[in-house]
Amino acid sequence: MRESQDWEAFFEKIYLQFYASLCVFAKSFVYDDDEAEEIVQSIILKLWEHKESTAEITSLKSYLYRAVRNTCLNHIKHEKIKNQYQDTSWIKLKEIESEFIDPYQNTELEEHINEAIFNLPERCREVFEMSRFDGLKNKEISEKLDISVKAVEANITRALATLRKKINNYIHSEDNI
Amino acid sequence: MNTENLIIKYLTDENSAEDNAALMDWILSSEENKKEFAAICRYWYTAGRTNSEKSFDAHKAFSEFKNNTTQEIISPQNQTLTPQQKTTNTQKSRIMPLWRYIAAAAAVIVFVVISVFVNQNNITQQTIANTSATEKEIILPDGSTVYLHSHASVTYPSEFSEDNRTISINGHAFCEIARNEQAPFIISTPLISVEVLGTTFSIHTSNSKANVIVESGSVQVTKLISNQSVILEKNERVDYEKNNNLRTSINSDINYLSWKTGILTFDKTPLHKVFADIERHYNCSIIVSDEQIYSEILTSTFEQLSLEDVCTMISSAFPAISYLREGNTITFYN
Repeated sequence: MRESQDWEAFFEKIYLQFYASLCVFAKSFVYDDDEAEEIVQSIILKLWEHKESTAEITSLKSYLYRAVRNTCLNHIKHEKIKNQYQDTSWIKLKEIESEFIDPYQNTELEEHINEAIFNLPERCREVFEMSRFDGLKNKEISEKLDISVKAVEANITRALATLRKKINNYIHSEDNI
Repeated sequence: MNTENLIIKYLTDENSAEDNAALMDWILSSEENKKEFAAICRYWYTAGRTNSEKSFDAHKAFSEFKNNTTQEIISPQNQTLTPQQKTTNTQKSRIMPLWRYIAAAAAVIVFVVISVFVNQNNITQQTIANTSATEKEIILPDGSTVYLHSHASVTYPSEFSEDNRTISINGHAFCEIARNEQAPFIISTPLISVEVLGTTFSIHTSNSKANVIVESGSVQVTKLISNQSVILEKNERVDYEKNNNLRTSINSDINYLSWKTGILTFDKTPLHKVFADIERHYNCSIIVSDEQIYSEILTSTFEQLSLEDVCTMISSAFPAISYLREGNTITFYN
């Protein structure tokens, strides 16, 4: 059994290594910073409560991701954050999407993608960044840039298509490993 | 619409339920499609990762975590509240007005004893029907509590036997059952029977349909006609219509207990759903001048408010929307 100071260091490491990226992951389900943090904090607190058995957790990282995924899926099933329509497809899509969590940790891929974004045409990059980085809705972007919503959609489509083309080779070599 | 558009709509959260259903069909139609979907999601999330991470402060989160956990270690009896205690306390204070409400309601005579008859061992069966418009709290011999909605009734013995506790309920009620593993608690209704050990749940029965929603613990629901039975856990519900099967699902109706708590909660809820809950709670009818109003989103909690106050709050939340009340009919208009 660890001493309490060891435990503190152990959990500090968890926070520094995983906290922010777990929050980002949780946010892709709940669309809200505070809610995402609350979920991640609760999961780490639970880990703390059962810390004596963490030796059994073979891969902490995948354990944490799985916990966030399951908690978020439960959360959206119960709260139906998205909207109150019986939109079961949305939850299923989230389930499928979140099966691919580990690649989000791929720094090399991220560099490639960032470079590709940097090389996008000006307007296209602007729209993409507002949508992806600032989390703005298409309507908000259209108002800010004084272009139509259709144009916003078209630019996002174009950005993703370009990214896809540029990184295609890279992704394929990844998949084949 | 092409698939790429559907995926982008999904990622930017601009999708409708139909869009999602169409996208789902496309993904499930081949493994290739699924891969393509995953790849696009992957670009999308990878693109913003480092950037998005900046909005989360790991150091701050860790010190919050330390505050929570060290208090627990150093002094469990510490006066400072842990987050859990804080939540229970707020929950308690939120429930307070309910008791005042019940106390006020109790001042009026709200129930009638319909029939009392004596069987062997001097145990009497009595039926209590709530004929008032407000809910009525009934305490059973074992300490369990049944809250009757208006027009609901419960029949129970003056004393339970040692090995089982059987009562019957008709109408809409919420039950808090005292735990006793030796004597299972059985509720019989015209269509289903519900067996529990110790739990809280809501039950709504009539001669043609029934539903049970579990708030805590677990219950077993059995269809009388075929003995089909299901076990429900917390937050699950079962719906039954005569001649069909028992249908279980996760309960998504957060206001199912509003009749008992007097609290209506809406979390990013479209107004059409808000109105439906208000109609049920206040037994009124709501119409709109323009269907567009239905899609406005509301997040709010109404505690023990009058219908008038609720309407005022909704119209002040949406400056463009006003309302007109005529008796029990409310019209919202632009």
